[in-house]
Parts: sequence; structure tokens; C-alpha cells
Amino acid sequence: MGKVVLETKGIEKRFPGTWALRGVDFALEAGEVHLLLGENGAGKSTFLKILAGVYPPDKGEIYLEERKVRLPNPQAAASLGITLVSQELTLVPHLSVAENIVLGRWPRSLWGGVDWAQARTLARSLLEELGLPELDPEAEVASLSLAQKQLVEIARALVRRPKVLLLDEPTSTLGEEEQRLLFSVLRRLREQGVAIVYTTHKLREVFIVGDRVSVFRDGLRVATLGVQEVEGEEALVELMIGHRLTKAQEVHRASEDKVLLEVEGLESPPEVRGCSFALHQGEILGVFGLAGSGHTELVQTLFGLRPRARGKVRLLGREVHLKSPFEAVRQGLAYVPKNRQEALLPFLPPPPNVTLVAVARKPPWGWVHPGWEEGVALELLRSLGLSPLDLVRPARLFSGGNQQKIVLARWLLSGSKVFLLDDPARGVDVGAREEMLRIFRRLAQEGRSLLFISSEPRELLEVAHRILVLRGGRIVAALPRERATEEGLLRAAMMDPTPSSVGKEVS
Amino acid sequence: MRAKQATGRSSWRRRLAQSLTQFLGPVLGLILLAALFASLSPFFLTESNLANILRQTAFTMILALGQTVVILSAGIDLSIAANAALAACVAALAMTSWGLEWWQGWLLAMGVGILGGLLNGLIIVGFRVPDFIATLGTMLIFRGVALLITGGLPVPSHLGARELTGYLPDQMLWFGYATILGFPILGLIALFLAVFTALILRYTAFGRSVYAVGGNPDAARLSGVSVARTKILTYAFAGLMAGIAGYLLTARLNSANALMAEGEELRSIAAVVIGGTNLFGGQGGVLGTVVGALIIGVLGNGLNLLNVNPFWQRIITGLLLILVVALDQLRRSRR
Repeated sequence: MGKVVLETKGIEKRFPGTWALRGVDFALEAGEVHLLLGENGAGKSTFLKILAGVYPPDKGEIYLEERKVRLPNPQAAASLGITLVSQELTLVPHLSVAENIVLGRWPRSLWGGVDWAQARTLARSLLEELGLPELDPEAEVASLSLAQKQLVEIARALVRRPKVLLLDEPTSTLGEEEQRLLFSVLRRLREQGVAIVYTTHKLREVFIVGDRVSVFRDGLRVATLGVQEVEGEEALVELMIGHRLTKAQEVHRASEDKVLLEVEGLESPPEVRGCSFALHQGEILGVFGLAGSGHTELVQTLFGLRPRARGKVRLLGREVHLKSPFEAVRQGLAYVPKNRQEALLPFLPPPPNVTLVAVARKPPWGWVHPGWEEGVALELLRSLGLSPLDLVRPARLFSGGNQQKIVLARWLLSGSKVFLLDDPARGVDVGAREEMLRIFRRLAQEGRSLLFISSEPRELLEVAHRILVLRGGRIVAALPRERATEEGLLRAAMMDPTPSSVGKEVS
Repeated sequence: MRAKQATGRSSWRRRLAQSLTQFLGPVLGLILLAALFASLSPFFLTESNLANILRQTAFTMILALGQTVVILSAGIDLSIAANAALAACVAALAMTSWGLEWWQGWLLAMGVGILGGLLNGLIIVGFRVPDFIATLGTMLIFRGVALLITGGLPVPSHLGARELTGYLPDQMLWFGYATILGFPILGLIALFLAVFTALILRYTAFGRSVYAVGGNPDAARLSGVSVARTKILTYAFAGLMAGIAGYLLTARLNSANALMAEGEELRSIAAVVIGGTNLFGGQGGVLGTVVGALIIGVLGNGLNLLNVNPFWQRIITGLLLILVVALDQLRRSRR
């Protein structure tokens, strides 16, 4: 360690309306895993993309092994040994693993055609190098899990034998087990002297795989620390948001007797296999599970997005058979999908986004009064703290946390009493997440009920009254807040239940 | 309260500025084009020529209004001109053979157009046939049905498939040539329909659903918008415009025939796209389409005045279409 591979001086980048980077000096050493932290909009992703040649910097210099380089496009960066694995997967789904790995770098046969035998050998040796000998090079990529696809993507990056590997939020879509696999791959690469930079929102990872960590805030690198120097996650969060966090408040009590949503033996095979629970008024019912545990499918079934094979659902005291979101919305259910892009009208400004559900309930000839629309949108978005409170800017130009507020405002306007939230804080930055949890708490206090799926146990421990744990489409534990711990949740979600570890009150 | 008012007012101004910049390109293009022709030909700016442009453009514009609504919801209607021809033929036959009044013929044309549009919508939604294929199919079907019922002959015609008992009503033909204060009534009807369409898109739940379905079908569905109903209605609306356009074209030509308005479906799409509406839905609007249709009309008229070979006119219109979209792509990638 110690030899600087990649160095930047005074990198600046402006986008219309924002100053993404304001002079970043940065040095990356050979054989280190260097994590970039920062809230959304802090500039870390932009910085990564500049290193990869995706964006040209407006100002500043980049040095690779002490030689000044220009990176006008990703191909130029790749030919110098800098490769980016981006958040969006770029594999071709109907080609095999091997075909994807050698895509664009085909080994040539004597006749100028592709030497497939050599391609498969190359793919296999790369997979072995990554510690994944069990992954079949012949398998169709579409049949792989998300994590496997991500690893194939990394294998593809390795074809070029990069000196610097850049990863943009590689862990955001992975479950616990899959993350562990990724980390072991990263450690292996580090041993081979590859310098790795990656961005993440999960602070824990700093201590698991990081050698050093750089924190970005408002387009500046505000700190770079060796992992031993970091005094806990709190310290990192403080660096990211620039002030001390307020401690979580005590949770108010939910109504014991009034049940807004009652689910009995709900089944939607193969993912949902018999779930029963009751959601009380004013309650935040957390749902925890690893990827593939059926939690997403559970709320999708409730919202009429998946067919229900068996089971009863009582909403506000009435039994309902919801076959489509169209009906679910009219029965007063609210749904915030896992993927924000599924909820927004990207080209339209906040007001029509906020009134969408209310307008959808009108008949086609129903009138939408612009004054009314502006008024309600302004009031709701102000109360949710949209910032900037800009009612003209298209929704796609807001940050993740703000987009989520716009989506929430939509359901508040429609007067929904029961909210189904599928990992709503996923991928938003720390400050925005705190704010969102505060909003959830307020919604519950005002008498609404929230079914809150999260991939972050800590979010649930902070706001949920009770936490259900799903595994294999079944509720394997129901823990009241006082008895739940991060470790307990993970254990219930991952391991076979022993009688003692299962909560008794599966109501 | 004061803050609220301030936000309201400034956002109103910014919205105006935004919609102006959105349509600035097409509007500037139209002005430049008109200036060019005015400087090259002394006849271009004469009252009779301007009236002529409006009259020629009206038909394209009305079809393009229907097309705008369909394209905003991320669909496309290739059958719109065939639908217009079918509606025109049915109405013309009904008036010349069964003696329907001019207004009954008008209503009939609109009815046939709406039915054709509903058929498109039901095929697309009910059988999940892609919009492009469904309307390509109905385009052939509408033309075929129109050929069958007219026997391939113009209506009215003494050789027609139906017994001729009368001619097209005078009141109907009046729409083809009349002017009010120098404005051709055809152009006024087109502008009235443009305002009507703009109001629907801007102020009704249907209009909002159109933008929602075109901008993000997932979001629309998850918010309780009926995507199926919205799509069917957009095609019915396009059919309504086709019916009106077919009737008015018949009035102007003094006859209907099964192959009238061939190629107009593509001109209507060109007008929408030149007007800045996103071909993939969710972005754009009526003002752009009006300007887009005028650009195509002015271009044809001006090239005529300059005695440019009509074969060249097609080439130039095609180049313009490509240029407009290429410029738009360039503008987007700059952002």
C-alpha cells in the first residue's frame, strides 16, 4: 500500500442549476478499497462518473500513475485501465454468462470469427478468480439472481484487467448473503493489487471491507479517513450531514382495539404462502425479510397487483376482493412501490403528481381546477418539507427523498387510511431518511396505519410498533418493538426457526 | 398567506415562460419560414394566399389534434386518415342516397369516426396488440370497407354502388369555401377544435390521465388511473377528429372517395412531432401541433408559389421532419 494509482486535482463540475463538484482533490492507492460516502446530491456519484470518463470535468486534472490523462469517454478510461460497474446493469439478458463476459472483447479465431471455446475458458477462469466456480458460463443471464448478475458484471469488467475498479452502489440491491459474496470478491481483487472505489449508503460496509473512506458533502470532499481512525457510524453520519443527529423519539402508542386492515391466510403462490396479521389504527407495522422472502409480493397482493389464490382481507371492517390497483385506490389503500420511478410522472411538475390519485378517481370528464391543484399541492408539500418548494420543476429533477415526499403527498390528498410502503427509504440519503421516518411517525399519530417494509432493520427498530419477519413467503416471527433487535431480525429472516425464537403473538 | 401568493404568482410566470420556451423552437421556425417565403414571393403575404394556407392546413391540423392526444398517451394512430375517408364515404352516401340533411351527415361522420376509434382502442387494449400493428391493420380494413361500400367510385357519382337520389347538400359545401371577415371557416373550425382539445388536455381528468399514461404507465396504474379506459378514449377522440376532418374534406372537394386523404396519417404524425410533442408520450401539447401543422402547410404553399417541383416538396418535408427531431435530440442531450 501507499503507491498512488489515481489522483485528481481541483475537479469541478456544474450541471444546469447545480454545482455538483466544487474542486475535489482525491488520491487512490494501489490495493485499497476506498469507499465514498455522502448524502444524495453530495457529488460522490458524479465524481465516480468523472473518473470513469462518463462525464468530462469542467475543470481540474486527473493523473493515472503520475501521468496526466484525459478521459473524454468511458472507452478511453477503460483502455487506460479504469472500469466502472454502474448501478444499472448492462448485461444482455438472453445471452449466456460467457457471452456477456466477453461482449465486445471477443477472442478471435484464426478465421476472424469468435473463438467460443476460448471465450468459455476465459469466462470460467474469471469466475474462478472471483471465487464463483459454481456459476455456469453457459447459463442464460436472464435466469440468474440479481446478485449473480452483478458479479457477472464485475467479471466482465475484469476482462480488461483494470488497475482501478469503480463500483456505483453495488450493494444497494443485494441481500445480506449476497453482499458477503461481493465483499469476498472485492477482498480477493484487492489482494491482486486492484484499487477499488465504491459508493454506498450503508455505513456498516466501511468497517467490513473498507481500507479508507472519503466523505462528500455539497460537492466537496470533506474528509478522508483510514478505517481505524473512524469513531463509529455516528461520526460518519455527522461528517455527511454536517451536524449532530437528534436521537430517535419515543414512539406513541397505537390503538389496541381498532383494526384497519386484517389479513387472514393470504396466499399468492409461489412467493406468498399464507400470511395472517392485523394492522391497528395508528400503528406502524414493520415488515422485514431478505430479498426473495415474499414481502414485496405480499403488499403487491394486497394492492391487487398479483392474483390472490386464497385468504381473506378486511379493510376498514369490510371484506374486500381487490383485483387491480384501480379498485384498491378506490377502497382507500395507498401504495408506495419499491422503485420510485414506478410512482412518478417524470415530465410533470409536482402539482399534477400530487393530485394524480384524486384526479384518477374522477370520471374522465371531471374538471381539474388549476387553482385548487396548486393550492393543495403547495399546502401538502410544504407540510412534508419539500425543498426546494418548487412547483414548476419537472418531478424527475428532484432528489430521491423529495420525490418520495411528492408520492406521499399524493396519497395524503386522496385521504388514504392504510399505507403500504415498500422500502420507501431505499437509496435516499441519511438526512432524507430521518425526515421520512419522522413523517411516517406523524402519519401514524394522525390515525393512519402503515405497513412498512424495509431492508434496513434499523429503520424498523426506530419507528415500528411491531415487526413481522418474512421468510419463504411465511411470517416466521412477529416481534414487538421492545423485544426486537437487529440481530434478532436478521436471525429470524435467515435461519430455520427454533421454537424459542419465534414470536408467539402472530395476531 | 403572503408567501403562498408569492409562490403562486411567480410559478404562474415561470410556467408561462416554460411553455413558451417549450414551443419556442417550432414558433420561431414558423416565423422564419414565413419570413423567407414573404421575401422570396410577393404573393405569399396576400390575404387570399394566407386564407388559402389556412384552408389547406385545416384538414391536417384537425387530424393532427386527434393524433396529438393519442401520441401523448404513448400510442400512435396509423388508421386516422383511413378512418376519415370511411366516415366521409358513409356520410356522403347517406346524404346522396338516403337524403340525410347536412347536419345529420355531419353527426353520422363523427359517429362512424368514433366507432372506428373505439375499435382501435378495443383491439389494442382487449387483445394486447401493439398500437402500431393494430392501427396498421384497421387502416387497411377501413380503406377496404370504404372501397366496398362505394364500389371504388367517388360519391356522388351516377355510376355509384348505391342509387343516386341527390347531391351533397349546399349547406355542407358552404363549409368548403365560406369565409367570415376574410377568415376561411375551415380554418376557424380547426382553431376552435384546437382550443377544445387544449382545454380537454389541460383541465379534465381524462386529459391528465393521457399525460400520466404516456409519461409513466406504471405510475398511472398504481395511482388508480384506468390505463385501458384512457387508451380507448384517446383512440375514440382521434376517431372523432377523423370524422370531422373527413366531413370537411368532402365539403371542400365536393365529393368523397375511399382513397381520399391517403398519406395524411403520416402528415398528421409529422405535424405532431414537428410541434415538439414527444413521440414516446407524456410531453407536448396542442399549441405545438397547431404550429407544426402550419409549418407543413406554409412549406407546401411557399414551395408552390416558388414553382418548386412538387416531387421536391416531399423530399423537403421529409428532411424537415428529420432535422426537427435531430435538433430536439441534440437539445435533450445537452441538458
